[in-house]
Amino acid sequence: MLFSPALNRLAEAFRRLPGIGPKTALRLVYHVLSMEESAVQEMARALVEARRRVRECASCRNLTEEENCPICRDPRRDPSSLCVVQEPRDVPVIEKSGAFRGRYFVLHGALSPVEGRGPAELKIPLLLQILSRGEVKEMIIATNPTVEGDATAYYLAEKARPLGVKVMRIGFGLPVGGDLEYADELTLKRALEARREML
Amino acid sequence: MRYLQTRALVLSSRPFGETDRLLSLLSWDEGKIVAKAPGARRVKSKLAATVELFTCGNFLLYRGRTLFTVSQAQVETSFRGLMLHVDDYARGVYFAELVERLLPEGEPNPAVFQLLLNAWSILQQGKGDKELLSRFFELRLLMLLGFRPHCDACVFCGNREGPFFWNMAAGGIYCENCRPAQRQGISLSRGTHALLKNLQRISERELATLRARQTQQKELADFTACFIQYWTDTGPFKSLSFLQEIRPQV
Repeated sequence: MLFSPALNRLAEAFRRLPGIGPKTALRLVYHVLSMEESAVQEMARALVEARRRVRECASCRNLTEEENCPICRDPRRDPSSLCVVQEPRDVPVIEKSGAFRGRYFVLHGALSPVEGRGPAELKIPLLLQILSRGEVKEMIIATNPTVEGDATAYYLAEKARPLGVKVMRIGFGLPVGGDLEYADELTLKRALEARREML
Repeated sequence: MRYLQTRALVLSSRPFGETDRLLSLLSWDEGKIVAKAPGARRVKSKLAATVELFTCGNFLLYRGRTLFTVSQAQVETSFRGLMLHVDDYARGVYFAELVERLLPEGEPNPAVFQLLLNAWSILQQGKGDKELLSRFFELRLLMLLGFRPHCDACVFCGNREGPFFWNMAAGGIYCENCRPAQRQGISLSRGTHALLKNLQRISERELATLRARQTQQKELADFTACFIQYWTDTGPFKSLSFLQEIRPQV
């Protein structure tokens, strides 16, 4: 309980953010009060500007400020290889690995019957349209290895196969640095199924 | 007892906080419970695979003030095969959603546990008509929870001869003579009535041989959907709408 309507409003605003409960919201409110006014203004401007300027790339649905994102505009990227990811935050993670030089398509979620998120919400028709142009030869599905992510992957594979695109799924198995003894049965099963010849 | 060792089905598994998952479990001993799986979204988590939807497993849970926390979990059966076809996936989720929304929290119901386990298993094996399996599941779940629609005879006079009609307030079917003065109610064809009675009587094993016409299936699906919404006071089921959305594309 704060004795100022302005502070109450601010606490309520913070509570709309994911993972912020009433106590954390209060802590943030007090922190904002202790900041320089110029820093608070800068933060408020950054929030509004990001919300106003950032939109989906017309080709891959990644977040960008332009019509097309830097990856889609880059002529050095391989247009024949397309990596499908679940969320925009997955793109920088794959980019950091340095192992992929193709382009992306961001679904902004996975098929979820319980949340009523179907193929139309994920813009799967747009993805199929891209695939039907014939430029993409290989599609790597990098959705999360969860039930929702896997169901989305199988659905995409089923839809893309008639279009003559080679459909691949990212590998599953033991995390690097992990201990075999502590791996669960399903992960081990998948690791064995996806075994590869050495050398 | 702060710890609970139980066999449970994962009805839903949602991201929670930074790296956790919030589970709705159907426990054999405790009924429907909510549990947190700490760190289950981390790549190296031991719990990650065991706290997924469509899992039947053995769980060691710590009983907290508001919810349980998963300490250990071991997969007994995983119905991940349901993900191979989007229709099976949506149907499996629909069964779980029905149980999650209709079953009150903390009331053990081993019959419902077995029903869901069997339904996922039949769905994964691909035996029989999936639409009929859905109707069977709905009707059997209603019966186990005390909402069985009265379909053997007219709810008002006990007449066993058709034609029959239904509206939700009646809680079952009624005959021509008992049809309200305003002549309300939806007609139930003879074939659909027989199918409805059959589905309430047969076992899961007999279900594999059961067949029905498209019109009967549609009539029955409308009946069960309306019945569930009216008598259990639940809103629309998103997974059912999802099933309808993907149907023309399957």
